[in-house]
Amino acid sequence: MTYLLGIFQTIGVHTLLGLSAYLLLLTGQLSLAQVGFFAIGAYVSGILTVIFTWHIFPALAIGAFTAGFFAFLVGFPALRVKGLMLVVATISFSEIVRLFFFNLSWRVNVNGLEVGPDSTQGFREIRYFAANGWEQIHIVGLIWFVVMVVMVGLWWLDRVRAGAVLRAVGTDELAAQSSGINLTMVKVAAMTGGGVIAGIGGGLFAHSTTYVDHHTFVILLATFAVSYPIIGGLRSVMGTLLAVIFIQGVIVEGLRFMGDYRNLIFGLLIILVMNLRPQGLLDGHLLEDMKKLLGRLTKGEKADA
Amino acid sequence: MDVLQTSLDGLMIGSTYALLGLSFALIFGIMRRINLAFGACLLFGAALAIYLEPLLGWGAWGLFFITMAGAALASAYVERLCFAPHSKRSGAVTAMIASFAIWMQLDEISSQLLPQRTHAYQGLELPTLWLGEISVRGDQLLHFGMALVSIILLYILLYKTRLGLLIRATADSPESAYLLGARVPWLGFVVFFLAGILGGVAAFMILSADGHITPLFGLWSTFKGLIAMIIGGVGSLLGAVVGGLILGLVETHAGAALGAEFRDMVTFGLVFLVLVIRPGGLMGVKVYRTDNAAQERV
Repeated sequence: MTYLLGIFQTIGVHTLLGLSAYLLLLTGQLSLAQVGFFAIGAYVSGILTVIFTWHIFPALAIGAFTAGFFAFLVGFPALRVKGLMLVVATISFSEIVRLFFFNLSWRVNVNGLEVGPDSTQGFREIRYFAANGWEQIHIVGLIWFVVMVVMVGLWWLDRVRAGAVLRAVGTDELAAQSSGINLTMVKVAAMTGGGVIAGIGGGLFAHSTTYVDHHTFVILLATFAVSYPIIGGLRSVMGTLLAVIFIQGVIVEGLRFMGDYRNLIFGLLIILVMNLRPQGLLDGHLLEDMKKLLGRLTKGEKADA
Repeated sequence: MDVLQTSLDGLMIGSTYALLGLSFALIFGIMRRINLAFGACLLFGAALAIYLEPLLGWGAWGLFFITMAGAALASAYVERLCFAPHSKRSGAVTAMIASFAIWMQLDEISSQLLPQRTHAYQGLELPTLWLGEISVRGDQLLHFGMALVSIILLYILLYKTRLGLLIRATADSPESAYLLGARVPWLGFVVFFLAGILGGVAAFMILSADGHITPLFGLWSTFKGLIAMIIGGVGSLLGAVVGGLILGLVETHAGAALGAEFRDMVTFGLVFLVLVIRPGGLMGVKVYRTDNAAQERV
């Protein structure tokens, strides 16, 4: 049971990471800064609960806000560049954040214990949940509650004008600009939103694992974050969740018995998926088919009645 | 005097970065893609060399040739699996994710070949040269020479031969090159192979100067190559060389002035600044400044 809950925990946190990249990918921007925001959220909310002994909810909120604020700040200069340049600029940002926390040492005495980030040793004492009698099922519940809220929010976004604006920028910037859309504003808004989502994810991650260090926040994680929405498909927010379950649940956990050879199969499976379904697992055709099927089913019920 | 010594060290390291940058510039020039698995290819070459060397007993030069061959083979493998199937413009993101998957795969093979955390990588034993108060390590001087020779050979290949002409034509415009009879898909393969060879040379230089290798080497060299190319200017081969030298100089000076902890932060800060102020890099070619190219997504 603990093992299963652990998997749910991982899938939940990774879904948040994937969704933060998804929001930005809608505008056609491929960003590897998500892991930087994730790290900011993790460290800030961790410092708030550990050093300042805050309650978890305001700490998560401030962590998300800080990550969003940095996303906003970075968005303006970074989104001036596109494509490859944006990838490299965002890699640089993530690495600067990682190296900052790598060097950050802030040890404080709280209730007779020395706690806080300890540069290379990592940040070890994020035990809010254990100290306040939360059980693992509660933690998983909290994570999935946040995931659901974010997913419903993004699903709703696709049904209002803002979502259409995001996709318009993603499809054709020139056309979007000609119809009076402020490109910079849209992109920075998407970046900020992505930053907030990644920040919450980081906070939840730090508190559910009780320990973070700079190794967690390497570019590999950022690459995972952008892979989820791309492998899942950008047509629907469900694609990201599907891809996270496919990668974290099926490939990483399901192939655990293969031991060290898992990553070989991992690479092969991703290549296979990308070659067979270049638009992602859940692409436009599949969505249409599913809608038709759903329509037929509901129609059938009506006919019966 | 210290400034001079630091600068000289920086140039020596910079020459290896220049080779890494050149490999990236070659791939980017012809494919307009970045290859995330590049460092993993070098790691694979080096791992293969360390694995095979005791069986063959060829010494440091054996390491050199196996590293080079392994990296080139791995690079060609990456091209076949990740870049050849997604050569259309719409396949850019797909190709990048695919190369990410291969990166994981090559990393895994390498860690199977190198079970421990650090492995010795035999260097060339050469005496240190002294010029007054300035010292140059003999092997580093040799590496500098090797880098220079590699760059000159690459120049001859690209600017004096028919193959080079075809490669440059494809980099300019793949469509017109294809219409004029160039085998563009085959050229992509050749360029990845070439980039692997250059990268292999750089990997040997870096690893034998350090004397050891860790599994982190892969990502490290991806970063250095990417940064050298970006600072120097995307699409320009000369830019990649200059970018590599600048990167070496900045790194050693930042390390000397601020300490090792801040060295990498300074480097990444510089990259961010260069990108924001001058998105094409210092010597970026016009191709990348035109709107059409700027619209291209990775």
